[in-house]
Amino acid sequence: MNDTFNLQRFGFLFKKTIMERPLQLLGIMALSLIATLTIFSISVYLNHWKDAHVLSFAWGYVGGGIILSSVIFSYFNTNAGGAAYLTLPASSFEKWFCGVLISGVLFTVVFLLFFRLMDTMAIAIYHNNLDKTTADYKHLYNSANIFPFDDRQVQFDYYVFLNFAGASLLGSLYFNKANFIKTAMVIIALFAFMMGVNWLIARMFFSNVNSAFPYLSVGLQIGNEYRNINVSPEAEKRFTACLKYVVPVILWLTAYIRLREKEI
Amino acid sequence: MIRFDNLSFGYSRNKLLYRNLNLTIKNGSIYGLLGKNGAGKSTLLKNMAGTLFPVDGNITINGMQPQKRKPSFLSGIYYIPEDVYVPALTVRKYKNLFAPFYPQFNSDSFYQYLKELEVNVDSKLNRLSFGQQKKFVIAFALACNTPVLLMDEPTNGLDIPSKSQFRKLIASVMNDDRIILISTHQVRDLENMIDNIIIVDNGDILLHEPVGNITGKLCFKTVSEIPAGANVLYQERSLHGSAIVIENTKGEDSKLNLEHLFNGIVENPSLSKKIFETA
Amino acid sequence: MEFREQQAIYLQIAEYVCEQILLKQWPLNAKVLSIRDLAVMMEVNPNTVQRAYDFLQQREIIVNKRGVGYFVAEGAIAKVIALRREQFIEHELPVFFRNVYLLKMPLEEIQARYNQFIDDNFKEK
Repeated sequence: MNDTFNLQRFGFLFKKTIMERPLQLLGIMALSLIATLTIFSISVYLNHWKDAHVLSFAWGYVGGGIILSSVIFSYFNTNAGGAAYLTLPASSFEKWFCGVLISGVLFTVVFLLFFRLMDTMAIAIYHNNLDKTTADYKHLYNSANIFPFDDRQVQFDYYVFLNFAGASLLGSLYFNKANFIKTAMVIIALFAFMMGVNWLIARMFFSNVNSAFPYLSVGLQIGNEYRNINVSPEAEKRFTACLKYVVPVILWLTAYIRLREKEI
Repeated sequence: MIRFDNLSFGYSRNKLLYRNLNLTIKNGSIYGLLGKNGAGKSTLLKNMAGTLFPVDGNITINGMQPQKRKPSFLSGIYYIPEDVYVPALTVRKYKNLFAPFYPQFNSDSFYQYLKELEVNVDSKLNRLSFGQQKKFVIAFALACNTPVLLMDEPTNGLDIPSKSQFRKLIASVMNDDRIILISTHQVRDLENMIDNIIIVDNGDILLHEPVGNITGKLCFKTVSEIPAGANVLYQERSLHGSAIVIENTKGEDSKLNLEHLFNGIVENPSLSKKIFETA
Repeated sequence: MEFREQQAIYLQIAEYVCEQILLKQWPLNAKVLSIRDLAVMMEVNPNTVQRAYDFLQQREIIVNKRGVGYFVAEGAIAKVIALRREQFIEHELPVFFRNVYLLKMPLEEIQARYNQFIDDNFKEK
């Protein structure tokens, strides 16, 4: 028996994971799609195409993703549930991979397909309803375009998703009860700590610090003028690369290690 | 076979619940793990099931280490915790989703066991009463035909007819290759089922003997007067006289009274050690 | 089946089997219940039934045919009676004698009462 990965066993696990709590998993997916649609519709109704795209994408994708990844391993609310999950005959890798596949990959694919479908239909309806005879027809027509998935804003959302969904996934393996709230508090505490320490360090170098953002910039007050000191572009690049790739990889992989070592 | 080699366990290194346990559990027997509440019976079972890890030492079950939680290990063991977990599924759906993980699962026996335990198969599992859920999990576990079966207080929550059915089922699934280990403090429920007894207290194994050896070394009886010079492990006043557990020096055959044995061993560990150490 | 307090379970199971043989529920040369079935019926560990069957086999009350199961032995009834008599002499007679002695009952009276009892209960009609 292959104790790391077996395709048939993984198939059983995947099916079991989805069907065991269809309301929870598919329900959260459905809810985030509905939320996306609602935000999108309201913004379109108010004639803000840019908002419609950016807001609905960010809330639906990032919000839904965070909630979904906080429940994907939520077997540990009860002792018995946790024991049943840990003793289910599948490898830790398969269990982790199944969770990542559903909350990371599957959710992203479903969301993107839904978003593109919704976007295309809304724009088609909008274009059809325009009066071709008016003077600004062309301008109005061009004001609504399909939202490209490689937009800068979307890329930003991907990274936010990778970081926060990863943290949420990991948090659910550390906290057995109320994992979502506890994880959020840890993130806020961590962030506050970084800001605070950063501020103290900035104060060691400058006596007139007005604001300080970790790793990136320090705002100084000189008389009545405010000036920002930014890190060099290379350093900034390294910092963003860290947030884009290194931190997510650490979060999602630590979840695997944590699952393997999980005791209940 | 289950082996503990110098197993130490606790929630921290400084506060160990068990220290340097050595134990061998052989196939073909029903083991009763007895201990007071909080004596660490559940902890011991969890270490065997691989949901808790030892601080020191080693456990091997049929040559494999539980804490690695390999599929080949997990498909050969079924652990029923005291409180059971069931999802919001029907019996059939549950079977379809969970049984494929157990290669020896037998669907016919599964439905047979459910029938014998009178579990309602039409309703969703989460709607069943606690006792019904427990019986459902027991039926599923038995149908998995795993070589090792660990049960934590299985008769808790079962009504009297169900307890009887439970005993019948255990008797029917027992064979020479299986290990069934049952932890309980309701000793009377399983008195005649158990053929090996492990008594734990204060992080130590006070007794680990086959029932045959116990009735060879000890005599359980009710007397009007305690015989002079007898090594009395336990005595209790009753209507008919005194129920006693004494060292069996005359080769008498008596019926094991698990409750009296347990009380005697826990109250008087040094005497019991002395009695059982002499070959 | 209700087990009594005093006697080892395996002996009580053996006694149950003897009873079935004496009552002709289990005729001579017939197959007796398998270890598993009897264990299920009595809600005991199969190893305990095994021990009872070993005991009965040793007493030549049942025989094991390999791969087929256990059967009531030829001449089992005589063996059962012999076993019962042995157990009676060992366990029940001392208690009886003790009472006879304590209550100062003359043996003649016992004899007379015994005859009366047989007349009342077991007399051939």
